[in-house]
Amino acid sequence: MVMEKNDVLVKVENLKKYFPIYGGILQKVVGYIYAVEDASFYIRKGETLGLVGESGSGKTTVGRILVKLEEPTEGKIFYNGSNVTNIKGSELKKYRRKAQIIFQDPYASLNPRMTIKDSIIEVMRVHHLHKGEEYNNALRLMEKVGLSEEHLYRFPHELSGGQRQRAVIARALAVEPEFLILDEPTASLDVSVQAQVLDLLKELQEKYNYTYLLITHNLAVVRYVSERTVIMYRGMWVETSRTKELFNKAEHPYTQALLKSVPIPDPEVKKDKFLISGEPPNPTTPVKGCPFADRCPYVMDVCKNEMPPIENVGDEHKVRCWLVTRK
Amino acid sequence: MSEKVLEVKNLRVEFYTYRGIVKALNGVNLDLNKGEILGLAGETGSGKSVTGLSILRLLPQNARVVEGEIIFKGRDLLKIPEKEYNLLRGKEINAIFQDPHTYLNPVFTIGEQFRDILLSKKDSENNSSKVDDKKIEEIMVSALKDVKMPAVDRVLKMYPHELSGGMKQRVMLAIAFSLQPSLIIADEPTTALDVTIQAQVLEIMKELQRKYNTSIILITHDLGVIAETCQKVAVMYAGRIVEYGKVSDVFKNPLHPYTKGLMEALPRADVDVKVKSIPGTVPDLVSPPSGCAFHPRCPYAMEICKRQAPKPSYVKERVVECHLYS
Repeated sequence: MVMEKNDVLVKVENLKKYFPIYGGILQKVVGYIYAVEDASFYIRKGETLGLVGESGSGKTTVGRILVKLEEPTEGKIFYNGSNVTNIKGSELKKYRRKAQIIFQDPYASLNPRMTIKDSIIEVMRVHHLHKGEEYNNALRLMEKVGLSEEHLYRFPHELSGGQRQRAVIARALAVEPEFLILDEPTASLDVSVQAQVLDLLKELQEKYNYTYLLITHNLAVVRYVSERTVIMYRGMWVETSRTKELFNKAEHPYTQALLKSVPIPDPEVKKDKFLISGEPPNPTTPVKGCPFADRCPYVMDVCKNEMPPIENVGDEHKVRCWLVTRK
Repeated sequence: MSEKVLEVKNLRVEFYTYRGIVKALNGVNLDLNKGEILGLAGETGSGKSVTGLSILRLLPQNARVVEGEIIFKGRDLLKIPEKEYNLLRGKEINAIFQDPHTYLNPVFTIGEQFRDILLSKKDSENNSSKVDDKKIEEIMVSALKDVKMPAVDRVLKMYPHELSGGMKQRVMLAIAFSLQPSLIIADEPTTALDVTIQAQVLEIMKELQRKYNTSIILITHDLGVIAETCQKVAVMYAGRIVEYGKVSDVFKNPLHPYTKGLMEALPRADVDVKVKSIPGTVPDLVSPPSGCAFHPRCPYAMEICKRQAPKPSYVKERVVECHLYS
């Protein structure tokens, strides 16, 4: 599949986000949480990009910045070629119609005192869409996500977890977006229901050419859904590639460790265990050198002091590791 | 050949709620041999945690065991007086839960609460003897070394919030194994942890289990964890065990349509698979479906499935509750 440059819908360059820590009697800034140190990636139209990392890797913060729920400390976001990093007012409202986010817990994202119908129609009213046609449109959305008319009159607590997540997806689609940020969309669902929701998302993408950023810690889900993947560690991207290549030919020791740590539901698969010791570093100290250095089994002196440069190791496969640079 | 540590017979548990009576367990039968790890798999509401809590006798107030026996080393745990059970719990049977944060007291140091636990169990063993402080110190240090805790002396003086999730769960493991119980109920012990940390914790658990020949019931929704950790697996659905057997058999050739469905619904990190979801949702246990509880979602449902609950069928070394096999 040959893609042209102008197919890129979302582009993120060197995104940084530091959260200030306040302390003392005067509540002065006493330090920072270095949540995101460097996130850079692009997503093509109609493509799914997986953003993978463990807790504290900064992946959720990146998602929140992308829908402008947080302001980045540094870096740029381009949407359809135009810089949306600092947009405000009506421009921002327009952007929000294009980019929607779906969170992990569907119960927390729905107003418990509103029926699904009211939740969906409210969104259309805010954006002045489908005047007079709101109800019919809500009905169409329900069908799109595999729910029926009766569900429109239910309150969130009257739906099961899977149905609730479908309702949240329906509401996100109400503004006719192009770009959906899926932040752990199935982490709170059971396996059998997770498969239903993942298939729904894939089906919607095929039909309507949505662009997805899938934020998750679940490598199996990423392999199933996304075409390309970015691995983040401690606020920094360490490897990115087409998903298939990443799973077969991971170059970064962290990616390798991650892949070998996932329990495989097949007792016949004998894995060569590659356990890494230790835990991710404290996010309140800025990273000097490679963020993975203190857990890496192949660590060298240079890793501790200097950030490894970006190396191209294949078609769209980039990695940041001194081992690769020095090979 | 092997000695039976635990035998659960026809266990039925009900919860009394404002919505009505929730039939959480509808006749659970389980065997556990010495030194064996049994995985208890199932989705939310399948009754896997309730089974664990019943064995520990830690069910909430609104729950009641309606029927059944839990035989542990020849005695029915349900008939032992509370006082006596308190001595058993911790020494003979112990537990590890999902969220170590809720099970460690935030206002005491690790050392203080660990010592308290050991003291309470020690006293019971021999009321007259004065507690040997040095001995307790030794047990604590060796237990923490067992779980590969770095800087043990410092950890003993720390408060739970000073430790990371993985470290806290190691403390829980250390406490659970410190008195070398015969049985440990581990309820989603690694669910809250990152995969790289999960791998560390599971490795330590397996190592200690081998060292002390402990029997473990590992409750988890993660079939991957079961495949890598357990010898046997019991798959639960709507308060019953629908399939029970060796991990190698069940994963290779699942017999029950629900087990099959679960395996097919699972995306995998190691190979590309076509995922197939199970239609519908888990039943409401206030009014479970008639006959086999899985029949509304089952692709092989027959007439009899709607009317009659299947009896356990024995296929080789496996137990399956499905009309397809009776």
